[in-house]
Amino acid sequence: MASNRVALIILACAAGILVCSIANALSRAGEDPTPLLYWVGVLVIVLPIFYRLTSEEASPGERLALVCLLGLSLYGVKLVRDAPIFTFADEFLHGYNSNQVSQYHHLFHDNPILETSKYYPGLEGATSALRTLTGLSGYTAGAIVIGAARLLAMSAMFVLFWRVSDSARIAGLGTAIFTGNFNFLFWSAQFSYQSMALPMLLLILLAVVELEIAPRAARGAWRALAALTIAAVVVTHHITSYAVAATLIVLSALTAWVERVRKPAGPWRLALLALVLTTIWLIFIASSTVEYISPTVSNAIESSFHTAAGEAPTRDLFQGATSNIQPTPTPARAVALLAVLMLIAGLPFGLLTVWRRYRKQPVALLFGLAAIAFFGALALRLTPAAWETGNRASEFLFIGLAFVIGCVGLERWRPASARWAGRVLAATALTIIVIGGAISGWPWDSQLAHAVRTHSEEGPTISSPPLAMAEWAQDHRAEGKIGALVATSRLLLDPGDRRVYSDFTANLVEIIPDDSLLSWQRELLQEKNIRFVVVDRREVGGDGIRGFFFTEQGTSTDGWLPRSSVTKFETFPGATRIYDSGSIVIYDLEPGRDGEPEKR
Amino acid sequence: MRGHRDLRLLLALTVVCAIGSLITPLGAVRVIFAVPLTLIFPGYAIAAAAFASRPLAWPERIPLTLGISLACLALSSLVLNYTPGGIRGLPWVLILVLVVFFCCRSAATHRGRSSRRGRTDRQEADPLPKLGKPRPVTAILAAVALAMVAAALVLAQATFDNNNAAGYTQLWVSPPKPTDTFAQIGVTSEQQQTRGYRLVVEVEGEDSPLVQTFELEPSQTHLTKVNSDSESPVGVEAKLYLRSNPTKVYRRVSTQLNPAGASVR
Repeated sequence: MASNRVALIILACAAGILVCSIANALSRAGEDPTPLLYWVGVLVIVLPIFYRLTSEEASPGERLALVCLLGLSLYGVKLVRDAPIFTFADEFLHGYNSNQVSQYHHLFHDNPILETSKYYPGLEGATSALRTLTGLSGYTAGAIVIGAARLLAMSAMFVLFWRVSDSARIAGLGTAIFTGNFNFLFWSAQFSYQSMALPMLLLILLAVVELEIAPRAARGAWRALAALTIAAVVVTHHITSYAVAATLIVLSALTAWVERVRKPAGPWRLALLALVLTTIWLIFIASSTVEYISPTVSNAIESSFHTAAGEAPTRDLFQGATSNIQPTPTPARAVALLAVLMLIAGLPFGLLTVWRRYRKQPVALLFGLAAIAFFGALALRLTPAAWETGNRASEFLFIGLAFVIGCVGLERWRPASARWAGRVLAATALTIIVIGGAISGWPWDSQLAHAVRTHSEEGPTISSPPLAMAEWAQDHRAEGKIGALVATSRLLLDPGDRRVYSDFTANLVEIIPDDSLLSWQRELLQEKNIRFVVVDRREVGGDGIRGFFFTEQGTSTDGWLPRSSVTKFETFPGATRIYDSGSIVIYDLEPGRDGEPEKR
Repeated sequence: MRGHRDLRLLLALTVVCAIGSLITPLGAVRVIFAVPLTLIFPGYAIAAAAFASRPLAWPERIPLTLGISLACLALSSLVLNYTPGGIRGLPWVLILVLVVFFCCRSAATHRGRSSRRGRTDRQEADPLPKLGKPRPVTAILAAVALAMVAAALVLAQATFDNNNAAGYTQLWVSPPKPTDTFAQIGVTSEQQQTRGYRLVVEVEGEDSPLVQTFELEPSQTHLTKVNSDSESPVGVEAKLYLRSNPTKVYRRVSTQLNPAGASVR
């Protein structure tokens, strides 16, 4: 009976993925399917799992299987949205790094857009094992590695919550709630370093908990494996490595506080190791990370103060990025806000349970603090320059919130007249949290895939303007660096395999849209040795979410860059216009130049 | 490793997967060997070595196997980076087989010592929950689920007709190299239907431009080569017109030809 039930749930997940795939296929075919179809697919995946997780009867093994199934099925929703090529902005950066490893058989090759990423090669290194052994493309090998990381995240979180709470039910529900974090469905499922590092952080936390409860003979093993994983995180992702060090330091402090001791306690050795390894890596290998992260953080702090003081406007939530993009519809906003309200409503009950039952456990206290801090990070989303920092932080903090909300115990409420009420309410609340989180985490108009390739009316396949341009650039290789806006630059990296500069390493995102070419801009182009400039006039040219796809016929061009932003490059002495596809134009600023050899 | 069935099995499977992923010609089949070799076996072996004296409970085994495998891959790639062969298939296989071999050996040795001290695997291991033999209904449901996932993935890979996608045409000239004395001008149609075009190429110093009219089906390319006989650099400008709108310049590109003569073929 139990195996039949699990098989039925697996069937529901498969059906949900198929429905999502159909919705995406219809969207790529330009049929404009109702978003309800897609959300029904997600609902079919999550609802049966949530309902079963609320039951008393399910065994720990079944619960673990269910949360793993949930994580993998929601990852399937992301995979069937892919083209199948990388279509998320960060994926192109890491796809390029992975291609460089496959091409040159070594790590640390330059990444022209995000220099810092080359100093954290853990993901690309791991992917290279699969690529070199199988010949798989970066996309496919990357999808398998991230799938494994996703499975690790779900299983590690379940066991972690189980060991902390001593309740498989809380563990199952808490892990399921984690899928409601804003980034779970898409952002954290992309081929990017945090997608591999965050699951490893969970494994480190699990090892720390096991250190406390394991027999003395097993502690050395847990410590050794935690140390190995810390080292892997340090070479994989900067922010996660800082999060690991910070978490372990706070845990050590909480342990000392709980045990009322004045000497180092808890995982202080691991905290020290994380701190030392992270610092060594930062100073001797990845020093450019400071330059990359510090402006974002300082802008976030400054902007938060301005907004809090009323000197700057708050960020509009759920608004379209450009005039052609519709804002999120009201019912969808309502679901997203309801999800947040439910989390807020559950917080005091969850915290109360944590305090009553688990206050002697430093990890549980840490989860409680993280749950409270999550709402602080949520407030950052209202600040224009801080929303990204808040968004990044919220995913780490949501681990704690998931545990706390998992402790609420709504599913155990059984009024005499309707004994099923608690379970139904809990499963419904969980579903709203997951769907609301997905709505908050990714723009409404981009939940479904758009076409990067399509069959023309006469049959042959045609590519979207930026993809065709990148493929052209790949075929017509000329020495020299390229400058481009966000969308075209990502495709020029992968599949274009070109040295392209854009938003992080040069001010090209400011130079290209300007009406005229100022002297400092000219000097900067020369200083950076930019030979080719790609001007993408489309309104979505600077958009790392929407800029890779076909434009629909009849879309207004009112928001396009003015013609002068293109023709201004003709004032550059000797510049020639070598590519014109209407929306995208390429200038060769130094035709015939030998070009400096490509530094790899 | 006598008496440690799981370790012997792991070693045997590692060798099979290592050989399979090296000699199997089809990449898709190699995946079957490479995925366990990279994402499961190293983690399992390292965890077995670490917990030789106190076997792991089953719930911990799953995240440890996956997580330690990923960590091992990330760190091994750093090691391979500084070896003469670099990051290639054979070094990867060698390092993974070595990791599994030495960890299994260490696990077997330490398990032996623990047994002598009176602790055996059977006494302390928390075995995996037993899965009963699946009923026919369960097997059918699982097969249908698998078919659905396969259908979803195939559908996700498919390219469809999309008549709403706005077609366009590329006009381009190959970026010249310093040694090039010619330029290649191309027109590539990414339109939904066949279109008629008129291409006008003007070479600086030439009296009459080159004019070509042609039709292109979607995804077809029309190529024109322009040579230079001049002893000084000359400019070339190509303009593309749609046959349906012959007076308005539709696309425009330009280039400069290196000295060596200028003539249009």
